[in-house]
Amino acid sequence: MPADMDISVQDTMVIARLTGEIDLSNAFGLEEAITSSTPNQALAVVLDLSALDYIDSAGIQLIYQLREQLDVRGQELKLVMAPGSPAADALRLAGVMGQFDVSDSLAQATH
Amino acid sequence: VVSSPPLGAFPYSTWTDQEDSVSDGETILFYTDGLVERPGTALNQSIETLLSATAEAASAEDACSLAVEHVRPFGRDDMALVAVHYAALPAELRLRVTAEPPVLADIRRTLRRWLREQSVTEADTREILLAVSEASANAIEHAYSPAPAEFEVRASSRNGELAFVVADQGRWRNPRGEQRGRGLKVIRAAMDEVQINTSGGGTEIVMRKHLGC
Repeated sequence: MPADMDISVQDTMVIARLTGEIDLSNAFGLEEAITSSTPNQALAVVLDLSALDYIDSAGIQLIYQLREQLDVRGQELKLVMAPGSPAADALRLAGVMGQFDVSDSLAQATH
Repeated sequence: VVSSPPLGAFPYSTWTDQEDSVSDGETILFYTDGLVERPGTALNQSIETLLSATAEAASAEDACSLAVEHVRPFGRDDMALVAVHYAALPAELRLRVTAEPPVLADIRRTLRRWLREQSVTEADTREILLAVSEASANAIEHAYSPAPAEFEVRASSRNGELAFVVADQGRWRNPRGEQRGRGLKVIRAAMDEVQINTSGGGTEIVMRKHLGC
């Protein structure tokens, strides 16, 4: 199942950029991959979903779990998705858009 | 198509990426020179013969038979022929799939093709793919028979209304946990009408979407 993650560290932020498709077949374990690449001194994780072609409720569940794990460590989770992108559609239909710190672009999130 | 040197033949070659679309009923043929090279016949002529012989191929198998029959390879050189035929999907789509998570991407891929054939907009397509994929994920999570379970995805169109059915043999269980609850919420938000029918034989999620609104 094609989903890729690219993680980079910028100052006190970890930027995880997801591409491809996330569903029930591959959502499991992604949050673990992100938290294990996040150093303790990082202040925030920016999850960039702009380039995702598809994400379903299993993927949204993963975002919740990721936020829970980051909360425990006192780290913030920010989401990036362009308006009208597949990720934005999915979060809107699931009715959870208002529950996250969402930016339209990576530049805006890392500002 | 711009021709390029054979792969691996020369150490410092460059190749160009090329993209093209294949429409319903069209065939892509890959062949080695053994098929078209024969003494006394110009290469262009052999290729023309190949093109006209396979133009109306009804399937990939058909394209291969037609190619060999009409081009009549010289037979001294080795020959390989691969055909890919892009068949139109039926007006009423019916997919029978194994209840395992990796099939979700295949379902979305096939359904996207079907929706394109029904001239459904990209915005509607995305919502439909989400809903049908969520319903399918539900069927996969509820399949708990010892044998590999299967379920069915159907799609049909009538008077500007599309209907999708995901039918499994599992017993409907109310969504447990937030994730499945969210899945059902996505289905209801993406579609105009959602019905969940349960019977002794299984569970059916029927979803309807009106087009053009």
